[in-house]
Amino acid sequence: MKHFYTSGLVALCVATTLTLASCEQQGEIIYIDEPYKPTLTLDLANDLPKSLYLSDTLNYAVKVTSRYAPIASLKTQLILGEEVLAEINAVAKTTEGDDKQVDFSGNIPIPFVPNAPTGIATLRFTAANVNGGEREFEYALPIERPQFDHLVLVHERGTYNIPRIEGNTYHLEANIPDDANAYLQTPPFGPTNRVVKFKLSSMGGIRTDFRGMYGTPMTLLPNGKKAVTLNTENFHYFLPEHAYLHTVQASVSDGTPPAESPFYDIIMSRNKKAIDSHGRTGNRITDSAGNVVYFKVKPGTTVLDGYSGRVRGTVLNPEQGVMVNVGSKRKVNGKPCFFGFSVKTDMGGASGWIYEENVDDPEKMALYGDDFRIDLTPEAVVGDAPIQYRVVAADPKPWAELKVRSGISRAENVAVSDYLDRGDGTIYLLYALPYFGGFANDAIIGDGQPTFIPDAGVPRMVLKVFLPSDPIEEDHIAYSDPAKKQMEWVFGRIGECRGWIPVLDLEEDK
Amino acid sequence: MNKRKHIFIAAVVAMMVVGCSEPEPVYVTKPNPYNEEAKLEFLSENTSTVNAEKQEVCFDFKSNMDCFDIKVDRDWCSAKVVDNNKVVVEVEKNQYNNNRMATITIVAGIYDNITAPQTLTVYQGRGEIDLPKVGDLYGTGVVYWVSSAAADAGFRVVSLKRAYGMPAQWSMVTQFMGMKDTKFGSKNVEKIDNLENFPAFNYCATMAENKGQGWYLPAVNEWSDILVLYNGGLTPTKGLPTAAEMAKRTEFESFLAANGGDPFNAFVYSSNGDSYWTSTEIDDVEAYYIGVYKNNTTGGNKTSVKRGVRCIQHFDLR
Repeated sequence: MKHFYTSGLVALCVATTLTLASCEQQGEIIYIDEPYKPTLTLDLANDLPKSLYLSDTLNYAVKVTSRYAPIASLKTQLILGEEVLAEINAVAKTTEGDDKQVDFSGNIPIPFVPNAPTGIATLRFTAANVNGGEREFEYALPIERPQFDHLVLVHERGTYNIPRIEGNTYHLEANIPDDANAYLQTPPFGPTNRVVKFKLSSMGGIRTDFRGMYGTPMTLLPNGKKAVTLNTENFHYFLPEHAYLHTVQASVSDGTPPAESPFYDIIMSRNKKAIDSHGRTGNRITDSAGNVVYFKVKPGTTVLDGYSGRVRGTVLNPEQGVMVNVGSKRKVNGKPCFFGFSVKTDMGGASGWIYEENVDDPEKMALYGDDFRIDLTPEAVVGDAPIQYRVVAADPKPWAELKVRSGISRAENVAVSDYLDRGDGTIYLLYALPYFGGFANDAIIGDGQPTFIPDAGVPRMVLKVFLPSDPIEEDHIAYSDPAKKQMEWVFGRIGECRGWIPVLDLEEDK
Repeated sequence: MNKRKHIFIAAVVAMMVVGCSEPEPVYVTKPNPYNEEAKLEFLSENTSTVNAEKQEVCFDFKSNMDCFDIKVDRDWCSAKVVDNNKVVVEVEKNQYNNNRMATITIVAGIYDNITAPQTLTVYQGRGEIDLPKVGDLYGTGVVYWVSSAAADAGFRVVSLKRAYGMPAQWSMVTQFMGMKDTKFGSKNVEKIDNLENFPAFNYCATMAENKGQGWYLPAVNEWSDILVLYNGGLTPTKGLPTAAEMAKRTEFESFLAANGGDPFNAFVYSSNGDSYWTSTEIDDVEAYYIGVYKNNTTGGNKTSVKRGVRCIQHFDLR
């Protein structure tokens, strides 16, 4: 019996040992692939807004980090459906050129696009390293089309509230004059109580302004009132904040802004030729046969600059008269003036302001008074950009040979130097850029280095300039090659005078 | 007693069964090689010069990656990565008597973990067939430009025939096409979707169907070289030609006529002579044309039917 238990204990020990041994056996080894760890990472430095309105601006700040290759650039896009609403490309600027951590920040304007419903947009950042490796980072961003209970028609003769009748439709019947300028604006909305202004040209079927000559944008009712019906679904408006910084994106070298540029409409609207009361385009008042009309002026009539009101010269042949720029009207020294074009003065040829009271030509005024009184003086698009320049009329000598259009012979003018120092320190502000008419609407004597403030809503334009061509032959113009130089233009104001000016004429006022 | 014995044995068996459960699997993370910084290093010269025969060229490298992107800029050679440690380049036979050069670009790695692009260059020596000379007849044209330099080896031919006196508008539509290239007419042609709206271009495309591939409307600078051929090798004067130039032009017109070609300038004594479209656009309304008599480059309305059309072929031997 004792022997049995001894044997049993031995057996139990053996069994225990076997059991423990079997338990000590290692389990199956399973290899797990380590996941790929992207070398580029992006962190938002501040929270994205919960939602934005069309026409808002998205401010972003991100930190991009690269494990290996230095960071090269960051592209930021706002995409709604298939459409890229806005895009900004930023190049990493580092002191060493090999930074593996770069902070990027910027503002993306969200255009007020037509027919875009409220929805979820994608904010996409594409970071790239110097080797060409890229990685995308996407964030959802709800975008809303703002709704208003009414729109405001801001008219030269008063304001009119146009109430919403349903959905995006607004309707008003009222006695609205149709012979003056007008634009639309929204009531204040959003957290900052912002107001968005719409040019009437940006609405389907509505023309640039309310002048009768453009056709009536309103329906005349039997009771004599006008009916205006608007649908904000068709409105489009490209938020132009900081547009003046967008030289590269918004400009091309042959004078045509790319149609896809969000600033296309703005650029083009700044470059429309003046239109006289007969619908003709041009920068001078002409008769029905197209001949330029000269207006006689009183002896001793002077030509003034538009900024300081200083005299540029006295008209040499008052009896022969002066040509008048269509649409350029303003007060100088408190008196209404028109803009005389290429006037012969005792100080040489000059364009500039002439007091209306000095016109001494009742016959011409009776015939062409309507054209004479058209006021198309450029207005601000958005307002002042947060930057200022001093006007320093640039030396024209380095540009002496060059022309602003192709196909211009040496003997012809159309010279680049016309837009630089005119010899007496005067520069011209342009209503329309070269390529688009190229005529001035103001003359500024720059010797006091007046301040020029760009309009935040108008991007800069870069235009080609040209070498002179061979002389004109038969029915064609000989075209010349573009010069290597280009001219960059910026729209803004000197005092209350608005127009385009070459960047060459400016120095940053720090 | 027997009962105890059975219980004891049962306990032992139960302990053995219950006490030894299934072993737990052991998970081991396998390092992802793509998480290392991508590296690529060639072990020898990254340039190779070979003779004109068909052959293979190898470039040894080492890399910690097994994923590569490789591109070659010429049709006459192809390249692939073998065994993750060498680039094998297959080079075709060079038939023409010109040096040529191909560039192979290779990147190692994936996604955002890639190396900087590295380049390999293969120079290939001359073949046996001489390049044609300027002025030679070649197919249905005359050679007007030849280069044996590796960078731009090739030759160009201007057509014997022309379209003249028939409606050959540059374009039937007033639309800016962005056809601004002044050096390569072929790049301008690429921007046309519907050739039927561009009769001058369509004429060249039709010529390609009947008389060999690759005929196109020359760009404005390509016309400059054609005028040197027309001028007997002399750089054309701007304005009225000299007597020496006129003699050379008469000689060239005779050559064309003898070989079934159409004249370059049938209106020798008019003020401007014949004019030909270039493929280079100015704006939505005008494109450049060339006046061959006075060597003037001019803008003309695209819908004009006054201009002639002469087409060229480019044989790229790089």
